[in-house]
Amino acid sequence: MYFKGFKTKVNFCNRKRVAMACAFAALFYLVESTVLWAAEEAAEGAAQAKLDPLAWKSDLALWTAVVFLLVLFVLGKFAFGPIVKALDQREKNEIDRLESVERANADAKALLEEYRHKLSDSEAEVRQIILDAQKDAAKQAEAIVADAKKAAADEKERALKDIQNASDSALQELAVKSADIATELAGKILKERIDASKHSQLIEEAVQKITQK
Amino acid sequence: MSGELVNMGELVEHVSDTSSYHLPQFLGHFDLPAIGGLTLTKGMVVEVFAAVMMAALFIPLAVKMASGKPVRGRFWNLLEVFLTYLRNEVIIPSIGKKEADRFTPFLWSLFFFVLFCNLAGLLPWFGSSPTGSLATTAVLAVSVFVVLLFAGMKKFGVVGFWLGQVPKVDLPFMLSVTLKPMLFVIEVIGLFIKHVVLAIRLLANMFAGHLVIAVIMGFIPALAAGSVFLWGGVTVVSVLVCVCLYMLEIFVAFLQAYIFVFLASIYIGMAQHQH
Repeated sequence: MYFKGFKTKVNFCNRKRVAMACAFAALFYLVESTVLWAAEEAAEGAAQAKLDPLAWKSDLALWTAVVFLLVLFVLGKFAFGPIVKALDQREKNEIDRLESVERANADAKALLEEYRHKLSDSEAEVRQIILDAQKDAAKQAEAIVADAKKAAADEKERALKDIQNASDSALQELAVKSADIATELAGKILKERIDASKHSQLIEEAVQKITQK
Repeated sequence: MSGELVNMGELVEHVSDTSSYHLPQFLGHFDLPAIGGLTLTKGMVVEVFAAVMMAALFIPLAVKMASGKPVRGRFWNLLEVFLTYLRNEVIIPSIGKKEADRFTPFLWSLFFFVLFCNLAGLLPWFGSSPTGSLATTAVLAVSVFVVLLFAGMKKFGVVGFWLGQVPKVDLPFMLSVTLKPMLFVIEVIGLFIKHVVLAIRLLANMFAGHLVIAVIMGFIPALAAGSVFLWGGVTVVSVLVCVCLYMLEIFVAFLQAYIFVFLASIYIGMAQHQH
């Protein structure tokens, strides 16, 4: 089956292929015979023109040597020499530039790292400041409250003292007045029986009794 | 047939280094003058043309590059690519970074001189590649040899350079005494042969290419006396084939210049780093 199919395919293309093969063969024959003929003709022509590539021509050799030496000298001095220097310089510049870029890159990285550290340090610092401030504020608040309490207590104590003093002085005044009144009453009652010294003694005793009470 | 051969001979003469330009027929021939005892030839004019072209291209390039900044413009960049490619990919790998720059101007000069001589040979009416003549290629090969000798002897000393031609091999004393002088002779002969081959390779390639083009163009006058149809067909085919070969020749011009400088670099490198 395979062979049959293959054969059919070959038959299908056969005409084209045979035509192409014939064309190639003809072309090849034509080219080959032409080249052979050309070679013969060239050899004859070359012989006729006395063309010998290996023939030594001293004039041309000398001329070539002079021209080439001039080329070497002039271009070496004004073109190729300076170009080599320029290329070297450019290479050096490139290397320097690369190195400086690498250095700048390293510096930038170091700087970045430093700033990152600084940033994290400042964050910690800020947190500490806030904590300290909170602590201070709490302490201050406690102190204010304590002061206020103390001031209130002092005030209260002072007020109590004042009240006590006022009460004492009122009592004393009351005792004096009561004694005076009593003395006056007793004097009126005991008028004539008690002299002046006895009188004042009685008053003092009366006052003491009152104050003790 | 004799008429055809006259045509062919005259046509082939066009690729040889003659002292007259074969211009189109209505312009006739133009003979080059003689300077003293020296008769100028087309090849000599091409060499001067190559030298002037090199100066005209590379001196301005050097001025542009002197500032240290990259050159601007496609053309100048193209020239610079040639130079940097040869330096970085051919000369430095062959000779070594340390010594390469001493030889770079010489090898650049060699490359562009050969290239322009090769290319100028393809210019219609004007051209005759001096590199298709042994005198030119031999002088160039000798210049490579001289540079190699002086540089090698400067580095290793006269005796050291020549003794260094013998490869270092560990041999028993008796064998060493007999073999090493033989090796020395072979290596020294090899050193000369390498340079002779350097000259012949360039010469053969340039000469053969031009000759093939001349011959294929020669079919046209050769068949002029025959049938018009055959002549017409051959003319068309010859012109087409010559256009293709011309392109190939341009490629060969570059390739041979590259090979010449590549081998010259390797030889100089070998003289700088002995085995």
